[in-house]
Amino acid sequence: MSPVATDVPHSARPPVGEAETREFARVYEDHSREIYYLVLRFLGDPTRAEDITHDVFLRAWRHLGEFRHESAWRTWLYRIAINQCRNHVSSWASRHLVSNADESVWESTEAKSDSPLRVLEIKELGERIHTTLERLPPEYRLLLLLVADQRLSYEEVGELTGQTPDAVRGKLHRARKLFSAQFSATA
Amino acid sequence: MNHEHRLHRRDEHESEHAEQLQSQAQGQTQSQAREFESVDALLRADRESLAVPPEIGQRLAQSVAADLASGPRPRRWWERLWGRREES
Repeated sequence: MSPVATDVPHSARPPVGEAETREFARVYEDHSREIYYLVLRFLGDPTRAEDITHDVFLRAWRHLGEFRHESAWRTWLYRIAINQCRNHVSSWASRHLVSNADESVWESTEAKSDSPLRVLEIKELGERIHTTLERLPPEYRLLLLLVADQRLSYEEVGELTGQTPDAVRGKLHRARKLFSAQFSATA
Repeated sequence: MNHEHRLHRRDEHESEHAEQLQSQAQGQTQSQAREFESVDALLRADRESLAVPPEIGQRLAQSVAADLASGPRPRRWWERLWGRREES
């Protein structure tokens, strides 16, 4: 399935100027890894993760200047990404179409200078994590992925998922136990 | 070539801020055992090991350039009617 940009509404007038471009580049650099990781591990589809990450940041470009604080940027980006993931999960295409992306799309390690042993280790660990997360209920999967971002508070996670911080803590406890059990089973 | 990735079961609620990554390397050809003391630490390590595909940034640059080249969006009929530009 080749990457195809989804229909992103062109609402706000895009900003112009070197300062805006620099700010957008900074926003992308600061938050792209977290957003891409969340979408990748939540959907388990590298191609779709690229599409959604692109769409999330294109929206960010069109709303540049509306946010003054990094935390506001972060939660806004996550909110858009989560909505896109949920839309994809509930879509007909996700239930009926199979991605023809080859396995090489998963082989994207951070350091190209890693030793072959290290590359293999990362790949195997990633496959186990992918398999484990797929076995979890989507709600647990989402909570674990959000909390993995240490910059998000329980309050922010609660806002993103529509529940209280206490509910987040309780579900996280269960999610972590379930993840541990499933992860051990993949060994 | 042996790889061990073990996840210790413990009270994750108390350990969320106490992550310690232990890496034991014994020679160039021997296996590496990595232990993660929490699910959060495991997922963070997983995230750090993955690179954001450069294709995303390249596509984004093209989309932004297309946005800039298209100029201001024409006002929709309800915006002309009510006399203001809405953000959708």
